[in-house]
Amino acid sequence: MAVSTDAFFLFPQGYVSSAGDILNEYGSQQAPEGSPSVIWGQGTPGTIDPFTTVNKGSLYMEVNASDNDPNVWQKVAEGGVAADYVNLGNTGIIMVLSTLYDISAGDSEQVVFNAVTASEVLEAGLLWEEATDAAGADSGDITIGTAAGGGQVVTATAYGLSQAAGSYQALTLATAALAAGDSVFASHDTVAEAGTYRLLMKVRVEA
Amino acid sequence: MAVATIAFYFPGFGPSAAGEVSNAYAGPMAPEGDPSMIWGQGTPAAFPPFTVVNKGSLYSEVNATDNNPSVWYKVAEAGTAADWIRFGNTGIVTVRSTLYDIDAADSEQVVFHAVTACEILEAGLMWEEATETTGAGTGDITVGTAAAGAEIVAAFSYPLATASGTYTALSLVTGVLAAGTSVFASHDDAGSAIPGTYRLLLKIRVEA
Repeated sequence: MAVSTDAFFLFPQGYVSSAGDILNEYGSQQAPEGSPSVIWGQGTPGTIDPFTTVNKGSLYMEVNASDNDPNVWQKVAEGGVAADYVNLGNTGIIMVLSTLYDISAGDSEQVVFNAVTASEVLEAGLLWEEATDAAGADSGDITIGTAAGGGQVVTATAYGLSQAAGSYQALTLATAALAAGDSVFASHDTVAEAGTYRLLMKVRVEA
Repeated sequence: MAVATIAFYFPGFGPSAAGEVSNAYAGPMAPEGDPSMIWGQGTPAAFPPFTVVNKGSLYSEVNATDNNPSVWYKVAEAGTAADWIRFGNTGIVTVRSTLYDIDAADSEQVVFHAVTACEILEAGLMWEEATETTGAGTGDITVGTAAAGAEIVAAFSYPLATASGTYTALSLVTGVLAAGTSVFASHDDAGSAIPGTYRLLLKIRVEA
């Protein structure tokens, strides 16, 4: 089995790759599963031992990354691939705020986001600026998808009634994952009633 | 005292048994007790070892949903689960309002909503059209958690002689946003024929 010559263990101390997957022997006997490891080295995680053999939750310090780039990685899956690792300092939460939409205006299709790298929508909701009345507004709706008019992210959801200015109408996510290259489309369907809102989304992105 | 049975110290990075002994581990020259490195299942909670390790400690949650970053960092010592933040699920975002013309009518904009607790770190006005040496100061902005509220930024008069591209920092009364709070920006106009347009710019720390 190929072993990286550029990655080394901080924990377990003295552990040497090529010994096979005996990492589960390290750690408390009371532990419910094998201990994660702490490794360091040069280059990004690859499909090679020790990156593939350490347990989920392990940390890796990439010591020769470009100056000023955060470079602590965590193993977040055990698929045996480089994508099992995320670079913690290059992962973050962003908010996407659409332009204001008047529900009495015409139907409108807005492109509100593009996932250049794979991303995940964590929340989506309508932030109401002008209140809706007790009746009528729910004849209009919003859908959110990865194509014009699509409902892949949020299926058609009627506008809420009696929404006060400043209220937040949470939307249920059908699918949160965005593949690299996906754009996000918000389809606003009109109704001849009072009410304005912005779509607000919280998205986890990677650099 | 209850102790987690699913959280463990990395050997060499903390005491071998739970208890308030973390401060015994560190060099004699250290200004305070050293942080620890622990791992386990589940999120940090209000019992040892999470409560007894020092601020600055790291915790790797090994059974989080695949592909979710799950390294936690202890940022306070209040003895609660909220002492910990989760890297990869915390970020700094900027929120920018739509353009406001200071000689337009008063305007109330809802610019943000905190589904989870957040903290405003900075607030300011980003001027697009310059103001003149007189006039603009009769208008103002307040930022709050209710319509016309000033809980976040007290009434602040528009500055005079502000060039295009200038950033006017606003003083925060409080930056803390409880979960479920919306942010309202109340723009009061400066009167007719007074030049000046701006956007409100907020920097906010959010958690997933």
